[in-house]
Amino acid sequence: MASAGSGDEKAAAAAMITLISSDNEKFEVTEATATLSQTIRHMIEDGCTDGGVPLPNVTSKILARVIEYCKKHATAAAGEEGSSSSFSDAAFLEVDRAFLEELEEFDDAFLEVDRATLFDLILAANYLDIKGLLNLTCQKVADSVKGKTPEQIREMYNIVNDLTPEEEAEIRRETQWAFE
Amino acid sequence: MVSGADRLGALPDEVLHHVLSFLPAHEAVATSLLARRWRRLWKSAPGLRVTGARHLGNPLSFIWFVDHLLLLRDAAARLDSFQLDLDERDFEVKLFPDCGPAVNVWLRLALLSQAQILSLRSTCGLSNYGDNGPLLYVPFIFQHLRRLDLEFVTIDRSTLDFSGCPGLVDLSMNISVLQATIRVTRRCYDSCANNIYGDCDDHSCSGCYSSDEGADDARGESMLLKGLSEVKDLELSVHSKVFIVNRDLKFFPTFRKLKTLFLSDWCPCDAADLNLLTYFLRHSPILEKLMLQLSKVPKQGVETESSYKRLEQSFTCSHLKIVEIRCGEVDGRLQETLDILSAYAIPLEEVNIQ
Repeated sequence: MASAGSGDEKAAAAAMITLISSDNEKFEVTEATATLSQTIRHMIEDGCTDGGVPLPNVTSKILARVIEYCKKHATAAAGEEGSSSSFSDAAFLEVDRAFLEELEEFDDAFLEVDRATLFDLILAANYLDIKGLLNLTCQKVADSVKGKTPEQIREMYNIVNDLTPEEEAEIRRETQWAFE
Repeated sequence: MVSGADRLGALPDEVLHHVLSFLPAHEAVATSLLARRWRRLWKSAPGLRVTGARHLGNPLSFIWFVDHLLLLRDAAARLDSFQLDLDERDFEVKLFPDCGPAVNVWLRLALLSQAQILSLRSTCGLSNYGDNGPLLYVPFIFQHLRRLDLEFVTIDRSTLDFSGCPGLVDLSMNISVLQATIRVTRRCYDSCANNIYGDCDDHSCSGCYSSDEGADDARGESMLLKGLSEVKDLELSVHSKVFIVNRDLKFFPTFRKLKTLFLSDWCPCDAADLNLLTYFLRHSPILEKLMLQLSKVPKQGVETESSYKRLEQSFTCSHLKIVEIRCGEVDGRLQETLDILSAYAIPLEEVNIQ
């Protein structure tokens, strides 16, 4: 039984999936890479990946980056079957420390993108349900606002303050417990 | 895209909830002032990180803060993780014992909300004031908990009685602590200078005989390890005079899902540590990876001859593929460790020394 199982895994690892971006570019990836996306995993399980998987919400530019991320992390994810937490991250994986460090360096370099790309990556990670990538990108946004005043955050992200002075005063009263 | 667009605010709610989970909780609350869109978003964040709240200054304000945080969040929103950093340096006066009952209530609320990840860290014991950390007496019921992280926490002996709910014995399939990090420091009351099992005959030993502090062996069942029967990934470090872990081993738990074991601050000269290693090697049928981090200095543990018996026969750990030993500098203890491993028929060529 055990040998049959590992045989299946090998066959699955070799299977290729075609992903099609919104601008109709085709990307050929291994199933192990593609299934880092829960969305694609479910499609594969339902047997609807013949002829390629159209991803109308993801441009080729972003899809290429997402695939780059998945390829790097696919080997690491192999050890973490059946995890359900949205907070699982590379640190929990049963892989070598050296590989973990390499992965961290990769993630750091991966995140060196302009803000528009970062938001596109977040949307893609959310749509494709890739937990590691969503954690990584959301953490980056959180880090960017950490320690900033509301005014600084608004300026940074072009947020229009549509609160009336009365509403603002009300919110301050409502949340007083957090600040004194 | 126009550079003036509010791309952050355009993200779906669930993504913004996720972003807010990465912020210290007081900063997440402060985002309610950004714009109307943000007013209630923090209330549904699936993660709460209470950390760096130094602006609150005193324990009462802090309790007030965390109480509001937990009670005002949207009760229908899931709470996946709850992290509580109690850094004494953030406060003008001592947090404990005043904060103790509140901490227990918060953890209980988080468990009721089905949190999967709980983390409680304090810095008590790091300072020289002899202050006590939070005393935990929450019974952990583990249906949902996947990860538990406790640091510098004083533990009531019933707390880590993971079998606290009698029904759970039958429900053991639902108990799923998949990863655990447990550091038992010398502050644990269940410690004994005479032997590693906490059943010494010395009636003046408070660890073994005191009814309100020690283990006194009356319960006759495993306390710490029982709830870890499903653990996949375990990091363990135990102060050499604390017997709670070794005592539990006398109830022969099996770690049938354990794949990775990391014994940190481990020392081959210490009977309790040796017993731990031997036990885990024998009772973790699918263990794949073993990491030993040698303690910085040799431990002065309990005398070995009375309690520790080296196994005569070897046994094979057929799944064990990776053994890693981490030691600062090579000393006699490395060779000793290698000798022990080879006595257990672990091929030394597979051992990776760092």
